[in-house]
Amino acid sequence: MNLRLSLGMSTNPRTRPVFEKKVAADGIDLVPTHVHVAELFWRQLRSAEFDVAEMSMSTLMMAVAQGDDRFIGLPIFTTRRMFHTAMVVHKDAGINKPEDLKGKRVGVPEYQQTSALWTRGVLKHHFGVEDRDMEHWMDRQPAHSHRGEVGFTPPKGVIIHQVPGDTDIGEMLLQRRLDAVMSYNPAKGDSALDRGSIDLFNHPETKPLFGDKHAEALRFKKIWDLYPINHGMVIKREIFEKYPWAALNIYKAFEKANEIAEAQRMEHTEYHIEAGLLPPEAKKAMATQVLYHGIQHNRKSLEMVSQLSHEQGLTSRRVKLEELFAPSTMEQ
Amino acid sequence: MANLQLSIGMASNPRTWPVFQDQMKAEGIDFVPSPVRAPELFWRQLSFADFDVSEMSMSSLMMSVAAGDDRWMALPIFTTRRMFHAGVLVRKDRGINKPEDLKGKKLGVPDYQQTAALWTRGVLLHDFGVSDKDIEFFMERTPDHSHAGAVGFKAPPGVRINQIPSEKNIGDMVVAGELDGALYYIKAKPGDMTDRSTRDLAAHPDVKLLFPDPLAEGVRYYQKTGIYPINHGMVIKRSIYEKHPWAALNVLKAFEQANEIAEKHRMEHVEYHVGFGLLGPGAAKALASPILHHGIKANRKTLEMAAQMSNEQGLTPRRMTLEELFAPNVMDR
Repeated sequence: MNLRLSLGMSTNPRTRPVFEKKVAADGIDLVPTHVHVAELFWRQLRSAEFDVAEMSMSTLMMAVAQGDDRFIGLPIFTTRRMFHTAMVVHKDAGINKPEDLKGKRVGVPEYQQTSALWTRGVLKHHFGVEDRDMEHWMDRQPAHSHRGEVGFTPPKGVIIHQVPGDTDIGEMLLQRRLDAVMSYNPAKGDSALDRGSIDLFNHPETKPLFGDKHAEALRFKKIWDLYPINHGMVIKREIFEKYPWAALNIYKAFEKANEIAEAQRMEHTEYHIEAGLLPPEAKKAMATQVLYHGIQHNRKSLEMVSQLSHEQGLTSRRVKLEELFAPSTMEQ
Repeated sequence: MANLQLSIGMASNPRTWPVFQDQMKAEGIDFVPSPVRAPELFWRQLSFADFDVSEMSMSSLMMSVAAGDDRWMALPIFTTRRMFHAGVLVRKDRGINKPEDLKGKKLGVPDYQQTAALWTRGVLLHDFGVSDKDIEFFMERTPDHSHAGAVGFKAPPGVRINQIPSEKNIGDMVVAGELDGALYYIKAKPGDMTDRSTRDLAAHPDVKLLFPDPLAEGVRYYQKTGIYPINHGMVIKRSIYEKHPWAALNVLKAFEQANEIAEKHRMEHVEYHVGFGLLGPGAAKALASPILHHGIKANRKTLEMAAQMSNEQGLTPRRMTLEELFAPNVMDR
């Protein structure tokens, strides 16, 4: 008889084959639920609802550093992004380059979320803007935040204000009570955590901090040759200890799902390529695999999360990957 | 009251996945979908009318309607297309360096009447002056498993079509030098009921593409004509359509929804290539524009060209009008 495990995660090309039962984990019946990630992490931290779940890498490191041993990581990375390129500023805030953020008021949904960790890390290492150079305003309310569940004290000199319950960072930016916003994700009614619903990315009074995201991505890659990861996967330690084989079996299922996603990308783009709507080099680029699971392919990105987490005072020490991930998956 | 239950046979691709995955619904209809590969599907459909709704070869549909077969009504749902002529394969040792060199040559073709072959011959004639009478054809599918067998096709006057014996196939014959190339080539999948070639012919050292840069040739044709050749449409059984005429538009609308899902999924599938800088802003913008549309309006020119080629090549005795093929209530869509 198969082991039955509940699984909470977001829907995207690399998880869809699991939702659609196109792949199965040997010996396991996965029962998947689509949950908005912010809500998922909060539910998981508060009451460990799912046996297996997508998890914020930053929050996982903080929890582990504090001795929370309920979860063990699996090197399955279904989302990543050049997070810092998503920063939005008010047009009247006098911000024309990252360095102009010094002395500014910056909104963030959740100070400890991995995308904000990456954004601050890039601002510091690439542009010399330190965490304490900005005044941070956090949107999520204590009762519904990851911070409320994990808890941390800002390092000396770092100011983090709580956004009042009757407004949100989107509204505050438009009212000029904030100058910029990072990691903004307008609520679409699918998360119990995030509030504001204004589309800041297409608002006449705002502009992106990086006007040319493509150029910025290429610049970033020259300095840090990695693709910032925000989410991994966790399995409950009690399940892992009882069924250690489950870790690699689940990992393999997601590897298969990733292969399906690779093939589907080609199917999804073949008509644009064949009709010549893409530049000739796009065909080769499209066939290039960008996303891999496993520790080997992602060590650089994961170790940077650990370094930034420590630098930013989210963890009191640099957490090692061996402390986070199931031992059996370390060679993958 | 219970929904109308309709069996549907079609190939699996980004525009049909949402139907297989139950991500979209046709109002008032419960689909029972089967993934069936095209050649087998058409043969089953033309010979046995297995499915209530199914993908269908546009060429075979025109031929059967012209021959008075009124079992089907077409729906303007077009889930596959391709620059078929850019895929012609030839032996390297036959002095074939341009399309005009195909004159007097022997070419294999899985099914003479299949839409992919119709388009290839049509482009060879229109763009390069190579007529179907200039080439000697060798057809792989045997009469009992071909579309031709199912619709009773006879070679037009002056066109030479030989039957490849059942113990041989196009791939082996090209490699053995018995054929000079393949007008269109299908590598059979395990369990294939219609095709027999098993070689990866394009990769064989003695074989090359007629167009050394097939992508460029496809783009040339597309830019010149604005036509992206369609091979498959969808049909519904006329008996069902007459009893439930509303089903035609409901099915079409459902596939339009599926197409929208596919558009969204494409962007999800490429966002990392865009985000990581592997694709530039121009490519990202191009990818965000839909290229595949269902409906008559968006595809009239392409469909009428297929009808013209079918008549020119003697597959149909006259030029079929779209009104004869498609359900009347979908014509203005």
